[in-house]
Amino acid sequence: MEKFIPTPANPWSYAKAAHLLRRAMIGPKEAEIRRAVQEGLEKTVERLFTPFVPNMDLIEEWIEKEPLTRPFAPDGDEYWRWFWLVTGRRTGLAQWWMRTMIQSPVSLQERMVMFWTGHFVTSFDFVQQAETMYTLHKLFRDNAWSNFKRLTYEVTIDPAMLIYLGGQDNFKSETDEAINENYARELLELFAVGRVNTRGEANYTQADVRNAARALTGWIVPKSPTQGGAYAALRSEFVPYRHDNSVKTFLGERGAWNAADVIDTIFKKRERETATFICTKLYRTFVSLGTASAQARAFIDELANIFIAAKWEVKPVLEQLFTSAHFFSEENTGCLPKSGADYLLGLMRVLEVQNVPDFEATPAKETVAYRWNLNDLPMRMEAMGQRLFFPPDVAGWQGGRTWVSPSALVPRLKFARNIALGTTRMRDWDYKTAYIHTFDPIAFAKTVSPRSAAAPNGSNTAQELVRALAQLLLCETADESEMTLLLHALMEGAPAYEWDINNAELRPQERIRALLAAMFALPKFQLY
Amino acid sequence: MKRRDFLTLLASTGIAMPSLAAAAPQTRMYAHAASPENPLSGSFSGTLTHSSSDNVLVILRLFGGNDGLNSFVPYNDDEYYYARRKTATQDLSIPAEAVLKIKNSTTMGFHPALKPLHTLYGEGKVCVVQNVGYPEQDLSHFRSNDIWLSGSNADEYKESGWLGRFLEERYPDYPRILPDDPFAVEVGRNLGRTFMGEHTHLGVNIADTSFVPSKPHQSLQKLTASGVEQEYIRQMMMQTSTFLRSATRAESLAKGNRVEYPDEDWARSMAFVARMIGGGMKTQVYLVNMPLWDFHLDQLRDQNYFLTRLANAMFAFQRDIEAFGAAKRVTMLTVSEFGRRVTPTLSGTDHGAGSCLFVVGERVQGGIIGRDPDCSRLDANENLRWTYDFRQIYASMLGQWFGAREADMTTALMQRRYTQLPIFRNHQLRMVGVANDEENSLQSASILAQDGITAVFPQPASDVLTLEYRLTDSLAQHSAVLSLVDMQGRRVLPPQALSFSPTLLNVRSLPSGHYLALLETPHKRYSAPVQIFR
Repeated sequence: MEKFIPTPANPWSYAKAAHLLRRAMIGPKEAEIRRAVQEGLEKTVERLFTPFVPNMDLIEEWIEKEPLTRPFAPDGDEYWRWFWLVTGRRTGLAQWWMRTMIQSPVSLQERMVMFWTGHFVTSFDFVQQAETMYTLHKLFRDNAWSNFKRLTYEVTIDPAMLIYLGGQDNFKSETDEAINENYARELLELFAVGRVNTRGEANYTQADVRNAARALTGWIVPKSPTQGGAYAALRSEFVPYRHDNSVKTFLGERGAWNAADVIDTIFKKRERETATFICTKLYRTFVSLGTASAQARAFIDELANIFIAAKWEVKPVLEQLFTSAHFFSEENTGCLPKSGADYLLGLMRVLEVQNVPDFEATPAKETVAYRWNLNDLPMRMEAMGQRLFFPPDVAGWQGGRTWVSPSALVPRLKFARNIALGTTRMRDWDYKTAYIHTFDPIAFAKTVSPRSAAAPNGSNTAQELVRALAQLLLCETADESEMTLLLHALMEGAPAYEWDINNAELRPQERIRALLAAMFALPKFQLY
Repeated sequence: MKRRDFLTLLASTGIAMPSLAAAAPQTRMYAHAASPENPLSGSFSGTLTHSSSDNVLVILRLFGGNDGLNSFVPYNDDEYYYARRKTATQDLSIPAEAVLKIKNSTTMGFHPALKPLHTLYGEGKVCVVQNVGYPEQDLSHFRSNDIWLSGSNADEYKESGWLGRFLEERYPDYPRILPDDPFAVEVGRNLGRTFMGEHTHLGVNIADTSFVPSKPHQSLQKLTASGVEQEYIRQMMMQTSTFLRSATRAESLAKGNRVEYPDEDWARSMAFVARMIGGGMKTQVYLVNMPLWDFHLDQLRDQNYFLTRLANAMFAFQRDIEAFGAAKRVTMLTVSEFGRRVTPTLSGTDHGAGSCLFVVGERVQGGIIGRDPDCSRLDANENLRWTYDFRQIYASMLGQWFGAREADMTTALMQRRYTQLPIFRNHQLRMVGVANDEENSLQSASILAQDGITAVFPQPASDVLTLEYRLTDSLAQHSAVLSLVDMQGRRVLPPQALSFSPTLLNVRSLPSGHYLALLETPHKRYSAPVQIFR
């Protein structure tokens, strides 16, 4: 794989560092990009593989504990108390993760947690309890870039997954009535090997699906006797008498297979297909949506080779990817449409937005319904096409151009405009009268463009400010027509030499807001 | 397509041309198009309401695979009850007493949750097409969904959708020139491949009309990957801005719905569509997504709930559209990527094949098309066999509802031709299909090994008779003719050449009585009894 080697003609630059950080994390800030420029590629990639421990205060009260006891009565005060607490915790988990993505230091961790969440899909639509969901989330967090094969096995027997794809109800019986193909099919089709190989040939048959389902029998999520039938346990159990230990043929191999054997067989008999399938997905996530070109396919092939040689360790694959010449080529820069998380959280992170009710720990005096009602940011992100822990279906978020369909663009443009102008209000809550999601435009401008802050006035400083903000916020250099548009937004038609950020009479705050609003409405802001 | 054809088609759809003011940069194009010799040059500004072709199709996509057997239930079929009760710890059948009976069938009836649909059926507004599927049914949701939306064969991979290709051919200048109203709208946040053309997406999705973004800035165009994406997004922003403005206008003109809808997502989406139609939006196709029909567990409970939501939403919509005075030009069609397996898995069912679908509207020929599902002769995966290819439904929609000629459908239907079904009232059917899609007849043929007429239904028939047959010898196939004779041996319908099974015969002109269907090849003659009753 050809490495990226800086040359005088193609140096390690602000644009290159920004490209790397935008792809590997969400919403990199000015100071982080500058540090990456200084430290160089290798040191920055090393930094990306640093795990970090998030602030747990929003959820620490209930995680890694047995889920709430569900009352037997389907109605009444006790039931509704339980209901609001459960829904509140589900919302709280999403809010906590959103805040974690914003508070993340320079690290690949959250990007990979998102990758696995969109890959090994589960949803609160079936998995009721936030406690159960957190267990799987933690698994992704702890295995962000470790071994894919081991992770696949862990996910296969994870309680949330056993609930979501019916694995817990897949068991042996005399009449075969309880062989549920659901998980086996998605394991093959979506999680590991894919339906067809690169030549379009089927990777498995319907008989393979059925036999894999047989082999996967026996795993359950124990129900708690005190919980009105809710699946409660945070650990699954293997129950031998529910397991079909007959001899089955799977991908051409005969044996009395169990779950571990199924995973082994897939990774052995469909090694190349699986490696290619996952590396293609990584390519789409980190490099480009164009996976069909000869160049892309050759690159994916090389990634797959590394993946196989590394015995399914993910880190070596990504290390190679992030330091390759292909990753930094112009063809692969600024071409990915932003996901809901990239858009909403990226914007909040880079502007260091304050006053976010979703991120405040629940005050003790509030009712149990508080956090459920305070579901502002998750719903905003849903409108942008991405509701955390509620993917559209088992294939996860489709990504790519679906992120920028008209119905996703409307709330995006609205959100960004409101943030820029400082006109966001809380939906349907006591905060109605107060503005939320605030930031200080002057301080932000001065951080991004210190020169503009230092020099008292002059046309250079206005242009310099626009250029610096565009460099940070847009997916590539603003062209001449965009510069004119942006400068006009900043100056309200006045000549650029009149600009002075420190002169309050010129309303610099309002004008920087107008500039940002114009910038956020450009197609170049919708990409990264 | 020639410019002139394009204009004729455009006019015939009743879709408003872009107003000149809104498309100022392209005015020259129009001046050119509206040349003096063009008879349509005077008709740009307004809405060309054409009697038959401002028709609207609303597609309800039941993603997840709806169980047709438990939607339109064969309540007299012991095999059905045997299979659905055979192994399940729970009985997954719909009890015969609970099934909602209909007047022209003693074997099929509606799931009790479909009561509103049953009411519409009684009014002659529901057409049930049974056993819809396609060759080599794929059991993956995603793949099968792609096949349904693209209209491809099971082994073809197509990014575009059947309606996308159809609209693209009709409107080759889109999106360079935007009409006032979108051609196709997908309600909600999803924007799938149904309206995707070969080159551009012909649809927009609309979820929220509370904010209309301003028109995007036109940057310098670059041919890099980033440049291409930027231009794509700019176009999307342009469409968003333009079409949200028209949706907002339709909202204000409609002044709310005329009837009340249930307070849930699907009904809200249908209510939105009704307001768009009632508010004068010229959009011809709407797609409403109703996901999560994948009931591997607790199917009885969940499907009951989902069918209730579906039927209530459809019913409210139908009444609303009637109150808006638009019922004559609106039809609903349900689609789902497959049915469910006949034998259950515990309290649910796995992915199946053939299933039924519903077409609802005032102009629909109410009744049942197709014979009853056969739970005793299943395919290799133990799923129901299909008799109608889903693309026959598409062909019927394009031909009968949008007035497309065979030639206008070839791109939409991927260069294949499909026999249309008698879905709409007063429609002249082309009775004879074409042979270039032999797969179509394969499956029904393989049920019975012997040559001859393999099925005739419904019996007795009153309007259209469906005949399925098998002829192994392709020469015989091409020279075969089909006719109907009365008991005195007189031909009552002229012999028809055929090469495609099933074939449809219009028997509306015949008096009640017993007849014989005759299938004649140069060497042999096959017959089957036919009953006509009116």
